[in-house]
Parts: sequence; C-alpha cells; structure tokens
Amino acid sequence: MGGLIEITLGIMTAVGGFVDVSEMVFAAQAGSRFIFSLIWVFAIATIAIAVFGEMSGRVAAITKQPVFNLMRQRLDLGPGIIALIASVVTSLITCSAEIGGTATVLKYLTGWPYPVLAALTTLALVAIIWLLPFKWIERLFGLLGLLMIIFAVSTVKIHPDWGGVARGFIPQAPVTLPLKDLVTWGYFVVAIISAVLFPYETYFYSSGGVEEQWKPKDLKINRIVAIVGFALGSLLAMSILVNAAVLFRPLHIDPSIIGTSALQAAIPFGKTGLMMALLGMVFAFSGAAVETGLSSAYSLAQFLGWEWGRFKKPHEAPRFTIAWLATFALALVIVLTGIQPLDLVEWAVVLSIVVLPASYLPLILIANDRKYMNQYVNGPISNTLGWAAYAMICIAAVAALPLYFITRGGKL
Amino acid sequence: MKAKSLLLLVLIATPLSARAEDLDSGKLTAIRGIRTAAAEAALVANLKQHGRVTDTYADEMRDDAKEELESLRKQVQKKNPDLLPITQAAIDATQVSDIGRLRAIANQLLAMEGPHGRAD
Amino acid sequence: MKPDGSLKLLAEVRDLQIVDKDGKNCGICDDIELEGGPGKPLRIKALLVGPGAYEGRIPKWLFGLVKAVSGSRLTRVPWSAVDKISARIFLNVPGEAVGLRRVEDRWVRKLEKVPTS
Repeated sequence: MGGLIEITLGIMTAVGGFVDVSEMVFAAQAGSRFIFSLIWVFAIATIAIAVFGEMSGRVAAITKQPVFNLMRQRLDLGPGIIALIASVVTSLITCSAEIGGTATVLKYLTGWPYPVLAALTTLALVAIIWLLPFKWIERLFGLLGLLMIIFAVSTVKIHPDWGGVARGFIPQAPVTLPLKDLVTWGYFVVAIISAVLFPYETYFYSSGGVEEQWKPKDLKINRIVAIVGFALGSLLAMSILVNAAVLFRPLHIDPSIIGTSALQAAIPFGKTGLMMALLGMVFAFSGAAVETGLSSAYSLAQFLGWEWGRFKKPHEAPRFTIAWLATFALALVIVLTGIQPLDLVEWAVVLSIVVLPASYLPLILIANDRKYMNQYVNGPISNTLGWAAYAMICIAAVAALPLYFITRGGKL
Repeated sequence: MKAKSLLLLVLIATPLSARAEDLDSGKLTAIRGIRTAAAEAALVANLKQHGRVTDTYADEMRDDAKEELESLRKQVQKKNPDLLPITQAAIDATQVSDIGRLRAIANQLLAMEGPHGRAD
Repeated sequence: MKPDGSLKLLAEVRDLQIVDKDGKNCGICDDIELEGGPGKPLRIKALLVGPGAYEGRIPKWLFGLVKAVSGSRLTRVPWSAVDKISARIFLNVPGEAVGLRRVEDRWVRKLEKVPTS
C-alpha cells in the first residue's frame, strides 16, 4: 500500500512538473500557427526524455554516482568543463525565465508591480528550499501544479476534431505551406525538442536517485514513475496545443503574451477556470525555477567534488548552498534588467539545444558501459531508442541557430 | 577537423541566410506581432465584458498588450514606417478596449500577411 | 582496483571523487604526480587536487578562463593517505590533515550560524 501511494505521488508530481513556461509558450504557438501538425514532435520528444530519464535513474542506482561525476571520467576534463559551463549557463537563463514567468502570472492575480513580484518570488523560493524538507518541496510544487489539469479538461469541453488530433500523432510536415512558414515550422520542431529535453530534468532525477540510495530493486518503480509521469505530462502540453488550435487560431491569435494561454480555461469555464489556470501556472513555473536553480548547483558540486545534496542542511554542504543561492540571486538580477520572460525563454531553448548533444552523450555512453553498469547496461530497446533520440538531438542542434536567425526566433 | 569545418560553415551561413530574407521578413514579423497583440487585446476585453475573467487579469493583460504594441511601434518607426498608423490605431484601441476596432485591425493585418497569414 | 593491486592510472584514479576518513567529499583527483624515471621504478607520489592541476590537461585558453574564475591553487595529497580505490578514492585520514576541504570548512563555520528548519 505504501508503495502504491509512493508511485501515485511520484506520477502526480511528474505530471504537475512537466509543463514549464517554455513548453507552455511553444505548445500554444504551435497549435495556433500549425494546428495539429506538431503533436507528433511532442510525442517523440517525450519518448526521448523518458528513455534518457530511465537511463539516468538506472545509472544513479547502479553506479551510485550522479551523471556529472561520471561526465568527467567519461568525457575527459576539457569537454567536461565545456559541458559544465553550458549546463550552468542554460540553467541560469532558464531559472530566470521561470521566475519571470511566475512573477508575470502573479501580476495577473494581484495587480502588483512586476519587479516587486519577481523579488518576492525569488525570496519565497529561497526560503522554501532553505526551510522545507526536500521531499515536501517536490510534492508541494508537483501536486499544486496539477491545477494545470484544467487545460486538459478544457480540451474535452471544447470538442476538438478528435480525428485531426489523432492524425497529429503521425509524423508529418505541412509541405503545402509557403517556404517561409515551413521553415518556421522547422524552428518549432527544434524548439519543442529542446523544451521537452531540457537536461536539468535528468541531472535532477539522477542526483535524487543517488541521494535516496536507489538500488537495483528500485529500478522498476522508478521506470514506471518516469514513463507514466512523462507521458501524462506530455498529454497536458498537447492539450495546450490543441486548445490553441481550436480557440486562438480562428481569432487570429498566436500568443505573444504569457497570460493569454490562461484564456484556454476562461473561455469554457469563466473565472473559476481562469483562476485554476493561473494558479497552476504559478506552481508549475516556480517548481521549474526550483529545479533549474538547484540543477546548476548540482552540476558544479558534482563536477568539482564538493559536498552536495538537498537532504543535507545548508552548513553540511556549504559551497553547494552558496551555488544555488548565487544562481537565484543572478536569475533575479537578470529578471530585474527588464528582459522579457518570453525572450529569456527563447534564449534558454536555443542555447540548450545547441549544447544538448554534449549534455546527453556521457549519459548514453555510461549507460552502455559494462565497466560502470555490469549486467544493467542498456538492453536492445534502450539502446535503439537512445541512439535514435541522440541522432535527433544532433540534427536539431545543428539546425537550431540557422533556423533561429532565419525565422527571427519563430516570429516569421 | 571535419566537425570544425562543418561548424564554421554553419556559422558563416547563418547571418548570410538571414540577410537574404531581410527585405520582407522584418515587415512580415512586425505585421504578425501587431496582429496578434491586437487580437489578444480584443479577446480579453470581450471576455471581461461577459464577466468571464477578473478585472485585475483584464487590466494587466490590457497593459501588457499595450506595452507589446508600443515596443512594436518603436521597431516599425525605424524599419517600416508605413505600419505606424495602424500600430498607433491598435495602441489607441487597446487603451479604451474598443473590441470592434481591435478586431478590424487584426483582420486587416491578417489580410496583409497574404499567403503567410493562415496558410493551412 | 584489481586484486593484484595494479591500476590503470588514467582510467582508474584520475577524475574520481575523493572521500576522506569521515565520509566527507574532498574534491576530485585532478591529476597524479609520479616519481622515478626511465630505468627506475615509477611510483605514484601524490594525488593533485585543485584547478592548478588542470594546466597540463586542457588547452591554454581554457586554463586561462578557469584560472580567472577560481584561481590556480593546488593541493598535493600524499599516496600514503590513500586507503583504497573503487568507484571513489577513499583516504585513511580526515581531509583537513592533507590540506583538503579548506574552502568548504571556512563556509561551514559561517553557515552554521544561520537557522534552518
């Protein structure tokens, strides 16, 4: 019974935590601009993150070391330092985007000034991480983030063309579009892959596995939680896409304001729907801010051999503590410069996809290495899916910058 | 060595490819931006009228839409001054939540996008 | 470490986490110092810990960047302080005894004064 509760809570936490500000923005614009033709990209990216998530959990359980410790050993020092810098910088930019997104949504709820809300959000998150036991931080944000389910309920209420939605799962490209729009569609493919495959999620997951001292017998439960949690979370992101296609497209809207997506719940359900959507967004975005803020501290501490751990008290892991405090402080500074959260989202997504091959290569190499994994190396399914996903990431990484410039960040 | 050459090629091609499209890409992006901001403002104002959203949300969204349009106005002032009148009209209509005017502006801009508007 | 006591130095020692006698993390083994030479027995003299040890391992420009951010300090951990090596390097002394954890311990004292739950 205790195990069942654990699995249920784990899945619910994963669902509530799947959609962050970048996934929301790109899902909504994908739907309003390209109807259902990008649903399959979400599906494939989710399969990829589930495969890598399972690998990182397995690596943590068998090697008892997190990915960034192993990264130095597998990649050597030079490439490892580059991967570390990339990880820290993308986590920082993403953290600032999530804090900015949270403050923006709080502004729609309270009417208070944005800079004040950004500062209060940052202070509140720092206080929560400092004072609450970590398991409860995870549960708090994950479960309250489940308010986002209102978007999925909206999808059912608005009666989309379910046949069209189902056809959206088949890999396709809208080749009848003018070239400019097809190129922009290509940019959205890359951006969705990047947003779903943010590496901080796997680093976070593997660090947690090491801290909770997972053993081989824990692998099955964690595999179920990762796969089911990611799958359900992905359906939530797809519901935002479908809602945008049905509700926004006919009104000539391609959401350029973060708050517009909440209307997907207001149109069918009025003020109640709006409040649920806004509150869900607050917890989903701030939960992602916590993960990204801690993720850069994990990367530094593990790469450099410091004490680290979210279960340790701050003075037991002092440099790790300073690292995440500094990340939140810098993220707040970035937000307060006035850079729009949507611009931060754009940079986070582009920067992340460019370095994604370096982020995932050590993981897939280690998971395939008997020296580290013994009999728990990748089976044929993990290997095939893993390398296919990796090839997809490499192609997306090469295409990202040209597509970003040609399409002016997807606005073309 | 091969990887370095490929990287160099990508880095050179990137700004070149952007420049080749510059002539009407900038204008199309601006038109699209003004169109959607006007349409978003219209939707929020309409939902407020029907009591489907809170006043706080509606007022903040109106301000955000206006801020977005003002930022676009600065851009078009330099590069596409022929879009200034319609951008200003959108800003004025947003300020007073003139739903009909905002919708008309959005429709007009969509028509200007031509085949890139709502290509299906 | 293999049963017959032999090591593949690069793969089995360098870049491993160092853990001291009290179970505390003490950094990563960033390089190894050897003594001896051609015709003489080659022995490990010390583990090298700290950004100063990166110098021979990374391009000059990258070392310059590392040095600008975190300095170039180097701590030598004598081979006699190493107890065993598996997935990590375990010492037979506290980290402080061989000059490790200096920065960490300084911050421990400061943070101990701040209240937590």
